[in-house]
Amino acid sequence: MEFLVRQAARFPTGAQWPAIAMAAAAVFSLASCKPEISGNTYFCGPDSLCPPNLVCQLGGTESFTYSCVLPGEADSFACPVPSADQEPDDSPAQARDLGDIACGEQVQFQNWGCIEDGEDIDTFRFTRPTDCNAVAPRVKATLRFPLGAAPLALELRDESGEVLSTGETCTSEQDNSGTEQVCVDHPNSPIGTYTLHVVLDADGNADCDGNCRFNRYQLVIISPQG
Amino acid sequence: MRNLVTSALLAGAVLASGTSAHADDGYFGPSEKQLTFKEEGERTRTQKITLLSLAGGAVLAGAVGGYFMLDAQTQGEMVSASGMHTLKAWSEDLADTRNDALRSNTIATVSFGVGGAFAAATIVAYMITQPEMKVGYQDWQSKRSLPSVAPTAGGIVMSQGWSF
Repeated sequence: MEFLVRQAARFPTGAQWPAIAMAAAAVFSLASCKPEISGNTYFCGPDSLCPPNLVCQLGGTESFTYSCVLPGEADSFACPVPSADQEPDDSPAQARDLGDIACGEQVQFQNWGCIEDGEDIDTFRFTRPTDCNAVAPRVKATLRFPLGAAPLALELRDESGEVLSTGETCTSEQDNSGTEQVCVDHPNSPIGTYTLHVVLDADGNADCDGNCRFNRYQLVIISPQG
Repeated sequence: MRNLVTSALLAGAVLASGTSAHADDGYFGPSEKQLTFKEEGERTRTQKITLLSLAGGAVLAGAVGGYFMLDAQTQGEMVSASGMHTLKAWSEDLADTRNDALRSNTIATVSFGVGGAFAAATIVAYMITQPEMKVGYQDWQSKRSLPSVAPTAGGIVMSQGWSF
């Protein structure tokens, strides 16, 4: 024991300093190896998925896309005022009337639409006018919504309410906006009145176990020449 | 025979120099005095194996720690983000990458801990097994002694060496 104490008193010797320096460097290096993620650097993923210690900002009004933020910065969800003012618009009779959409025309909503819960349906009505001379006139519509809340579905129906086309996911691989897109492309759409229905996607499971059964959206309707 | 001849020559030279130096009785003759020397002992084979094993363990654990530290760094950089928006949505894949980075970081930490323990054990074992100095004796008249003579101005310098 006396020997060890005597030896310890001489510790560290010159040759042992490099070992101590290496150990200290290893400790500091390890500290820098842990992934650090700060707020507002990621969009929310499906099911409001966010990195640990961050939550999905579902209530912000400054951006269309939900971002992962610190818990203290998150607000609860609420439909934006312009959208809420349009309610009720759940049935074709109550649908928002977009009027005529001529061949080659594109209608894009500047304001965000909003599905408030699983019961909410947003309906849009438009008419293909008689002066559309395309050989095989089409109706295209694109619904864009943030990934962070419940996925939405889009249906094109004719005047009788029959479903003509159901939207399919058409998000580009290069899309870095944290959103999902659903597209309807219905060929041979004759002159007449149509309705578009926006609802929660019944097949979509990403609703945070029922805690994010809502979402905002943007809708674009195009009537190409042919 | 050569020693005897050399000693005889030395004795003759000393006497011829006219100085007060002279050969005492027993200077090159029989004596009960012994040369005392110390030499470092050697570690046993078991001690050497133990030291090598501990040092090897430290190196191995350090290497494993280094590998996983680099892995943690690489994977951590793939998901770490601050300041600018990454323009990515958080996903299960990113979460898996982050978890892998944390797992590698944990393994690296444990490996460095184990490596450090091995290194400390190596140092302690090195100190504990430090062989004691052995004290040896050798007769002045050992056959392995080697006298030498060097001429200097006005005389000669005599010396005698022993190898142990």
